[in-house]
This record gives sequence, C-alpha cells and structure tokens, in this order.
Amino acid sequence: MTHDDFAARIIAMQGTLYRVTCSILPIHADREDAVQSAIEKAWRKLPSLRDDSRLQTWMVRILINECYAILRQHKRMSPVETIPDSPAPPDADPDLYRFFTSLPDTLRPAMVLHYLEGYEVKEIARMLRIPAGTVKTRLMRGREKLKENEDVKEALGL
Amino acid sequence: MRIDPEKVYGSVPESFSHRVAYALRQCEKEETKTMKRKPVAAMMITILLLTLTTTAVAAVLSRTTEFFVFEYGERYREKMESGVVAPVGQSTVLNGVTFTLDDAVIIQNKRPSLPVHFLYCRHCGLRIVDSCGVLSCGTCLIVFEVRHVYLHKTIQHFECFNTLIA
Repeated sequence: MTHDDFAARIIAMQGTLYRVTCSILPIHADREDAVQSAIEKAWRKLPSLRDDSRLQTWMVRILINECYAILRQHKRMSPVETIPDSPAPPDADPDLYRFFTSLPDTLRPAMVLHYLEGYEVKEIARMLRIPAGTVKTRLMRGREKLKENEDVKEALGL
Repeated sequence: MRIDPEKVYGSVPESFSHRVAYALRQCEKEETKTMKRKPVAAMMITILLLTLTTTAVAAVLSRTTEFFVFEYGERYREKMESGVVAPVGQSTVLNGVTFTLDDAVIIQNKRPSLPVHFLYCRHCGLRIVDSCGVLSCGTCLIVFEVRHVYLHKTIQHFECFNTLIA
C-alpha cells in the first residue's frame, strides 16, 4: 500500500478514529496525541498487515492501545486540579452526549463501537482483546442503562 | 439499532483533522528519509563487511602459515605463501607419515568430516595437509585436510593403513 492510499483511507476513517478516542479519553488534547501516535505506529508496521481490507479494524485496535497507554501514563500523575466535564459539541444531541459520557469506562468503548460504528461483537472482542461473551455482557448492561434513561429513549425515538 | 454517531459526539473537530493530516505528513517524511538513508546504509554495510572479511582472511592465512612453519619448519613458509597445487592422489610424507591427497568430500558446500575429526582428535596428533586439491572435474580447490591416525600404529603398519590417511 502506498502512502497516498494509506492517507486516503485514514482520512476516510477519521470520524471513527475520533469517536473511538472520545470513548476512552476524556481530554481532547490526549485524543489528538493518541491518534497521531497510532497513525505513525500503523504506518511503520504497515508491512505486517496481511490483508489491506482489515486496515480499519487494525487501525482501531492500535488506536485503542494508544489510548490505554495514555491513560496509564495519566495514572502515574497526580492532578493539580480537576478538569470540568466538557460540554456537548454544538451539533450533537446533549442528552445522547451526556448518556454516553456518563457510561462507565468499561462499557463505553464497546457501546460506541457497536451502536455508533456498527462493529460486530466478534470484531469488538478482537479490538478490545476481551472475550466475545464479555462484549455481549457489556452491551447488555449498556442497553439496560439506555432503557432506564427516558431522555435518551426520547432522543432516539424509542 | 444504530445510533447516528454525529448525534453523540458531533462532527470531527477541525483540530483533530489537522492532527491527522500532520501525522500523515510525518509518515511521508519518514518514508522519504528512509528511502534516502537506504543507499547510504547499504554502502556502509558493504564497506564494513568487506573490511571484516579482509581482516578475517588475513588473520586466518597468517595463522595457518605460522602453524605450518612451527610444525614443519621454515621451508613451509615459502610453500604456504606461494600456494602449492597438488593433484589428487599425490602423497606427502610428514614426520614419517605418508599423507595422500584425496577428493574433498563436500556435502551442501560443507565439509562434514572435519568437525568429526576434530572431535575424535582431542587426544591424538593432528596432521594437516597444506595444499590445493584438484577435483576430478578439474576444479582447483583449497584443501585443508585435518586428519589423525585413529588406528593403533601396529595395525596401521601391518595393514599399510598409513597411506590411506589424509
């Protein structure tokens, strides 16, 4: 794969990459660092990718690893002050945004990958390196939380 | 059920897109740098390999010459340095033992008998035949036959095995 092909495909999937970072990292600057680091890593390791059609899944997995690496770095730091929750983006639905940001950290990536990005349970299991059964459990818990939230149900027209 | 992703996190912020573009530019620069670096690296490796090979060959040759000079006297220096070619079947008498040059047994570009002999020879006297062998096909081959007498001397003499060694 040439650099131009790689660049075109990364640009096409940047929406997915952005939402994956949002599901793990609360700070916007960290999301940008994670994506840059993931792209550079993916480019260096591109020859090891056997099937070009799996680039997106592979890229998402690298990005998830980078996001968790950043989270691990933050754990070693002691915050001077707490960062306030960022407001919902202007073009987003505030109820849906609040619902997803309030989800537990363990449930959020699976919920985003399945309900927003449309990945199958097996793919999510591979990306998050967890058993498929765990992904199903997390999705079920997320759905339960969604059913409890009337505002979200209304926003989704359920 | 599929939720519109933009309803949850909005559209991709411009700063994020810029960062993606920046990362891709960095990748391109890295690729160009690697491509430029490749010929230089290849040249450096070639020079290094040549130097190492020359040094190794020189070291081995000088040590071999010194060995023969030490073992069989100063006259071997000239013989070694000039490179004597002996045809297959030619016999050489060294310290009373007759050595006959034989076809070098080569399997997959290796001389399988050599390490075996070294292994057996721990307590025996090594004999080295310094010459080049000419194979039956006519190719000249450097022969460094390291052999030893592994039969009792009385049996050797009785059966005339001494001429078969080497």
